[in-house]
Amino acid sequence: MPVSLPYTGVSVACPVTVPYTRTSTRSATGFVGLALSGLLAASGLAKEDIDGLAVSSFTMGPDTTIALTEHFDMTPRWIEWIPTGGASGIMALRRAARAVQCGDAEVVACIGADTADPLSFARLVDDFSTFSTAAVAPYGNPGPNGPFALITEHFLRRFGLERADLGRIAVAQRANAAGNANALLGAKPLSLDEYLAAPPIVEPLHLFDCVMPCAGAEAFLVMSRDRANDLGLASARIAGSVERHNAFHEDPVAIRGGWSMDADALWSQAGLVPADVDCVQTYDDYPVIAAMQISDLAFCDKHALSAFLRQHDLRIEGDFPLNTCGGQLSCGQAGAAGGFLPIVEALRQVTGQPLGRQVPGARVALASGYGMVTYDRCLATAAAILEGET
Amino acid sequence: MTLDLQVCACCGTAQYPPRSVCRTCLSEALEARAMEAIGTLVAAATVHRSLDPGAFAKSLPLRIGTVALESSVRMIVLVPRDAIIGQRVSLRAASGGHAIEAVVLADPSARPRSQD
Ligand SMILES: [Zn+2]
Repeated sequence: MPVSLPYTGVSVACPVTVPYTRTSTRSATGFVGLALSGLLAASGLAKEDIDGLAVSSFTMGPDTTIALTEHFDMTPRWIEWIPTGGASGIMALRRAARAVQCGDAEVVACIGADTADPLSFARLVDDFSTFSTAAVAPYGNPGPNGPFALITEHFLRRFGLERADLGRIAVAQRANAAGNANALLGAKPLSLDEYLAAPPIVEPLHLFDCVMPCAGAEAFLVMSRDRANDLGLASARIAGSVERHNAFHEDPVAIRGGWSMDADALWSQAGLVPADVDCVQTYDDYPVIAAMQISDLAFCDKHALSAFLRQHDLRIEGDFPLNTCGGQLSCGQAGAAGGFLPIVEALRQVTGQPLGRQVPGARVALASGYGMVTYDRCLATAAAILEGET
Repeated sequence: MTLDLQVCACCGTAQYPPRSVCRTCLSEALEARAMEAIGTLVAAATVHRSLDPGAFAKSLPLRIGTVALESSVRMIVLVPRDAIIGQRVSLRAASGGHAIEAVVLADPSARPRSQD
């Protein structure tokens, strides 16, 4: 098992969320700018102090991070462009952490941001990948709901889950969103009966299995622990992290992601076991993917998932707090910001800065990401464990 | 019944969706080869809502499925309403449009003769 060096001396701080809206006339660049401004306000740093910039966005085209330096009159000595959607937040964290650790940058702003006009989601799906245009669109043009319905159907049958088991994830996350003013659906309670009775989208996916596209941004800073201390910031250390791409491509239907290839390395690097984690923030484009991460990251065997989801309380006050801000299923999917949501919420919980409710005594949080459905599954997977330092 | 699949002339790997080089040996020597595309239906779903409702209004709900071919290729295809998961199917180009459809093989042990 290859072993990565630890992230010694690196801190993550300043979780920032630019409020989500269903649609927006603000550009993606505008959302990045607001996130950057939020990071400066939260840290007390000046724009000139930010010498690294890592950005992920789907709707900024044709611009990338380099164009942003001119938009914002910045002269960073390190930039990254991370176009991997649902995995981009943790991938930004990993790259920024190594840059800080090696002295290539002192303070890195990591930002995921997207806008949403009424037509942008359909356009994004139309142009998402060469494979999906050629090999998914002719089949009723279902968008990502098509491949994920196939994954869900297969997963339920193969591992003995019922729709209600996935419903428990959606229902608990909606309960978690209550009190989070940024969750677009946070004020609408969801019952299991309502989940089960929802109209079909691509069966077995129904309405509450699907995220609502929206606009918004998520962001955080990576810097040395000394710098975070000097600034008086509540911060977290990176106990461990992994990423993997195009894992298990031989599986005819995706039943696992790269997490299961790397879970041992993750826990080993962190020196922790799953029971040490106080809250879990998975990527949740669909409930089945949240369930897949719970098992791939070694919280339970896949054949035991149904029992696990029945026996554990996934709410903030429960014994297995999952997606404690409500996740994308309740907040909305703000494009690439959705790929930052798990790591930003993990950082919020272990530094005592939740937008909604605090997981009592949260010290260790696991975040995971899943990005880029180019044909019939997402290719990019990543995970990170954060531990509060203050 | 045959289907045109992209095959590598160097190593024989079949692949879908089509690529610019062979996924196994990275050769550019790729050719479209009409072959019997026989496999197993491993997952199915029913499309009720399309991102392009205008184009698909008449065909919804539409059953789709994942077929795992013997040549270690997987494909999302149109699936007959009465097809059952686990059944052996043969693939062909659907009439009109760019879709590929599955036809259930009557006898799981029989291979159909090429009809075209
Ligand atoms: Zn080859």
